[in-house]
Amino acid sequence: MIEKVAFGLVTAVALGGALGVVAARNVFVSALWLVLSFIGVAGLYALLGADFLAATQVLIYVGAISVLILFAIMLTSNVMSDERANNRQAFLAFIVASSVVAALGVLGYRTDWPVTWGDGATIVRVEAAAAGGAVGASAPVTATDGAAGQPAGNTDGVNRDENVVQLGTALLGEHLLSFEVISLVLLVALIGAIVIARD
Amino acid sequence: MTPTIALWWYLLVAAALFSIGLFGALSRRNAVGVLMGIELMLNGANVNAVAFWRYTGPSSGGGLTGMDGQVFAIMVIALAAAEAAVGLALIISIYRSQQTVLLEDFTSLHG
Amino acid sequence: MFDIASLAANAWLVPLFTALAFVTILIQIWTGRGGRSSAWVAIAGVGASGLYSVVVFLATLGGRAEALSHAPAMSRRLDWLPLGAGQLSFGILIDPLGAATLAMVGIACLMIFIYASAYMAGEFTLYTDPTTGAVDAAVGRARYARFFAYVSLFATGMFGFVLSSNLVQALLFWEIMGLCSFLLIGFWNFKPSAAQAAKKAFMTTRIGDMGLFIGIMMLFAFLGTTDYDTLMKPASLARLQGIGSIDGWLGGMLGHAVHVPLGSLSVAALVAICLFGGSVGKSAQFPLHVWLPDAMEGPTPVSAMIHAATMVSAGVFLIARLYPIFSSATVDHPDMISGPMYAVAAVGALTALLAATIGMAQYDIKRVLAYSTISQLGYMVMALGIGAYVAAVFHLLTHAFFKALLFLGSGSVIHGVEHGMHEAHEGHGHDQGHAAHPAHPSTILGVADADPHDPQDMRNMGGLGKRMPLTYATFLAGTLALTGIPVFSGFWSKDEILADAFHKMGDGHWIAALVWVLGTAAAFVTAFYMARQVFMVFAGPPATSGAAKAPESAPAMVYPLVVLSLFAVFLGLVGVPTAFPLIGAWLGGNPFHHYMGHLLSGGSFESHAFNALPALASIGAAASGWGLGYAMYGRRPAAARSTDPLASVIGVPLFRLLYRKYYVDELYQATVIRGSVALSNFDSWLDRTAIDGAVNGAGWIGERSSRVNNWIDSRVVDGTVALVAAVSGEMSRWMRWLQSGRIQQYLLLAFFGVLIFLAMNVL
Repeated sequence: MIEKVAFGLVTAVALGGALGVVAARNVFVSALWLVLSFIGVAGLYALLGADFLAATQVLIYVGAISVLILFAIMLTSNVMSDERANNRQAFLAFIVASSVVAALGVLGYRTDWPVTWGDGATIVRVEAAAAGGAVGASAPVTATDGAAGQPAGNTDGVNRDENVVQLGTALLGEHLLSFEVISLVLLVALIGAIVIARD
Repeated sequence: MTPTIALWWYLLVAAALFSIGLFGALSRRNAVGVLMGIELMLNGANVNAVAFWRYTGPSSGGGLTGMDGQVFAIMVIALAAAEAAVGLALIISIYRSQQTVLLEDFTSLHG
Repeated sequence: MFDIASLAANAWLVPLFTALAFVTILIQIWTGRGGRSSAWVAIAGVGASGLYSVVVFLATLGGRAEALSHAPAMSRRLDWLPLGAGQLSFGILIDPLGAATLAMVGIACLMIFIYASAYMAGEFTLYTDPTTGAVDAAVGRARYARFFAYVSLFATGMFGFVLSSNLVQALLFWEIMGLCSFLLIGFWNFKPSAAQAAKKAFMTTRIGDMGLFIGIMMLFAFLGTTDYDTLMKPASLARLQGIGSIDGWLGGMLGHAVHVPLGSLSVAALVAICLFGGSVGKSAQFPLHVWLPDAMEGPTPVSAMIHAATMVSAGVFLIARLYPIFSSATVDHPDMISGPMYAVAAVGALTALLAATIGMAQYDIKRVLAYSTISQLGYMVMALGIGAYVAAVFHLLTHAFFKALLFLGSGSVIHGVEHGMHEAHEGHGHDQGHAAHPAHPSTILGVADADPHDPQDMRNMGGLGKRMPLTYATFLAGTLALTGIPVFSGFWSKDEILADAFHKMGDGHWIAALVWVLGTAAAFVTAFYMARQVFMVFAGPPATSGAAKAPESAPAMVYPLVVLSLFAVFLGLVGVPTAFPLIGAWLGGNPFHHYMGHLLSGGSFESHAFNALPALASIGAAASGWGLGYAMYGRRPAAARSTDPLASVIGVPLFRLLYRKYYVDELYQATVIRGSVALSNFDSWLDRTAIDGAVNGAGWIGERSSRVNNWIDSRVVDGTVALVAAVSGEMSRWMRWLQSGRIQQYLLLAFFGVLIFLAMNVL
């Protein structure tokens, strides 16, 4: 239950912030809403058990990118201008955007995702197989089964310490090449940004 | 143990974030506003990746092993940072020469 | 203290130091700061590399009391490029062969770099501004720095090549060396002859490299790897042997019986011969030896480094490294002679003797040494060809030191004579200075006269022993080593090759007999032409005022000579056969053989019983060579002679044949080069007559039929075209509205497209 409440809260923050971004007339206010939305997304990551990512989200998006955006706004436009914020295709854009969310929602709901949530599911499957029952996600689930595989005081099946260790290993192991490429991209982008903005 | 919140809810939130961002990117006159919309879209995609990692990742066999979803998200964050830096630099550069950041004034691609 | 083994495991640092020096000097050049400091950077880089390579070498000794016992190979790998059938990796492999070669390269390169820092100082004043005629110091500084950038990169290539753990990586560094060789031979590229020589070296070695590349690809195709460790495993070698003959292999691929020339040769032999092609090019073996003498157009330190001590050794090193593949037919007995080794031995023996005889009739001090290098490389190659692996590697190491010494010594001589000529010129004025010493009268048709201004021509020297005592002493040490006079290093290594050949001859191998006979003959010829050189350069009265005024060279040039001469004198003592009279047992029973006598494939070499006959024969050959040289060149002063004594003994036509290097260059000019030009001309003719005729005929037919078409065109087709144009015009006008130039509108349209796809899925 508490998870549902938490989910509702962070969703509200994330989506509310996002709506604020597009609804605000003043671009400066938009940027402030954006910060709120980023924080909400960080909450979503935390709920999903990706702690490191949540922290990264706060540091990079809330800390760095938002500040960058605010700077750009200050440097380029009349902050207090109250002229029309949207262009003439706003109505068409609204139709397209709402169709996209509707279509994606329907698709996400209708598709039978191969969900394997945490240790519990595995244990249930193994036991069900041993008992000769149907194997699959539809196997009956009991609270004790779920608790059996969980570390004490941790209900979502994610070992928090290992999470970061594994992420580090993955980044510098099997994903090493992408890691280096993205580092290079970042470096080039920053040099490029300096060159472009300077003259 | 089944998840308290079905995967679909996360997907819906991600889709909503994406679409709101899309609307922003399509409708804002201010270039910085468009950039913010794009950041929202990237966030939506990221939520999607992490949700799928959590729900359908190769978690069978004790603990989560594959970290592809999170690695994806980190790459996207890094790319977003790069994109923001370059994008804002471009905007500042254009503002210097054109004295405007309104996208409808930039029509030099007009055929 | 440091763990010496773990220091060795980081041997990849060795090429890194010189690579860093290369990059640093490049930055210096780009920022306009190149100059004297660049030499220091290069020396620091190669000094660190040299020090580290010696550390690596010491680590392979084990650091224990039973030093010089069999050292295990160390290797490290990092996956680099996954390929479909296998994996390319980057790594280092250190075994006794690699470690000893590495230390040799490190020490020799350090000495050469120090020497070059003084030798190349002439660059500073070499370049003049074309408009004002004043010395352009900025260009000179940049060129000086550039030289050190090139040699640093070259040293990186050599270190990397020796350390490589697989063939692809080795090829990479091999080609780096090829590139540096090109850049350095053509360093004075304002001289057309230097530019020409650079091109020749690059293209000639390329022919061999093609063979090497094909060999590597075949190895990869057959065994799925190019890693030395894996390649040299007996299982891999057995698999290579198991492929059978070329006919069988091609037949298996094509599905029917095939007979090609040499088809009965085994595939393993074909691979080995392809790999050997690379060595033939790089180590200047016959018939690809033509580039090395011309490469003397480069500055002398380059000659010493690339064309004597290190790069040409790379070819021999490659055969030694891949030795198990060459002997794979007889994998259990690595010193047996297998099929491809006959080719190796024959090429080496032929090269050894041919190059030595050419060396007899040359006048350029560096060219004599160049032919001697080719000849000595021939020795190593033929030694590998008869399974005298340890002797070949031993000769590789000793030769590198004494040949570097000789080249640097010749550079010192050239430098001195150049200074002397300059001084003489300043002192007496141009005409007067040379009037006292007229040029040699032309007595031999086809042999160029001495140019009295050429500081490299030995006919312009003489009497330098008194003017340049240190250079003379060290040069003499190098010469004694090269000619195989006992106690000096060259004697032990050369003698071991000949003794092994003699031993194999006893086993009934005809190729070993050939090697022994040609090798001993080459030893005689070597002693003769080196004696000729020493007497012409250092003995007698000076032939020109340049030689009379030549000063001793700068300390930075002379001291490296002294260090190298120590190696030239004493290095041989690590490989004295146990049974050698008097000193053999006292020197530890041939520690070098114990150290080097093992292969990656697991086989090892027995040392043979000492036999006095080949040793006496080679001593006799060397002594009689010296004696003859003294008789012909030592007794009468050079200036008093009008014609070369050798020419009067062997006859002018034969002398001319040797002087013109058996006309091999002319032969290539007449066949390969003229041939390809003729082929081009034939193609051109074919083009102009047959093909142009056909084209014209086709044109006439086309022209006729066009008239018919024209009518159809103007009525039917034009109408259609006009219609299409009108339609697309209308469409364009409509499309133009879409191309508003507003990014957001484009994005909106794109998402309409996305929506269509989504809708197809949802509905």
